[in-house]
Amino acid sequence: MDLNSFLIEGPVPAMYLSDLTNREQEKTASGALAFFLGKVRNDMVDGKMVTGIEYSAYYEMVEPVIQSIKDELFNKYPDLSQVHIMHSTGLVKCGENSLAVMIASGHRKQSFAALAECVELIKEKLPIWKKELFSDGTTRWIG
Amino acid sequence: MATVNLMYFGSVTDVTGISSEKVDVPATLDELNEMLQARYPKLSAISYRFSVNRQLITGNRQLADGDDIALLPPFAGG
Repeated sequence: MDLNSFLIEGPVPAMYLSDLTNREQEKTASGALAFFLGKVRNDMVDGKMVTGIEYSAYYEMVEPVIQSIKDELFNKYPDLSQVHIMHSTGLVKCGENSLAVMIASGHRKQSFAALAECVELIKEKLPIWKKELFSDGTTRWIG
Repeated sequence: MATVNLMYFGSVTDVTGISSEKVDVPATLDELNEMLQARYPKLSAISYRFSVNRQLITGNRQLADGDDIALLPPFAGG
């Protein structure tokens, strides 16, 4: 798994966060690591169960947008030292992870604030779309 | 007349039936939008924005030969 890539085909493995954590052990100036994992939820819509989500992305635009999100966070939270983001493309089944974020900072307060803001910025700005897949074989675009 | 690369994403692909095409377009983005809505009438029923060369565009602008133009419905990452 490439820890520096932003997109992964299929679910984000939980190992992504542990691998990042191991790598961060070499960076001894960080006193706080904050993590977020977004999962696909088994919503019921009009009596139909969501079984998974098919994600698609504008690949060439994802990298510059993630860079702009990082720049915004680093400018606002000077204590940050690392921002890592990985998002799924393709099929992610219910219960599997579709988004992982890790923030490293000197102290805990800015890591919590930056983590919450990072997830909101991802939802607002990242050129990614999702199609819900239902148990009866039908689908629905979200957004 | 410029030739540009058009890319469609999300729910827009259900309307166009394709994910990309190379087309000769008029001089401005507003004129291109009118052309696309004439070609794909159901586009007017959905919400989307344009990016030109991976930059989100608000308002009108001139188009140039070789531009990468994408129709982006509301983002839904996470």
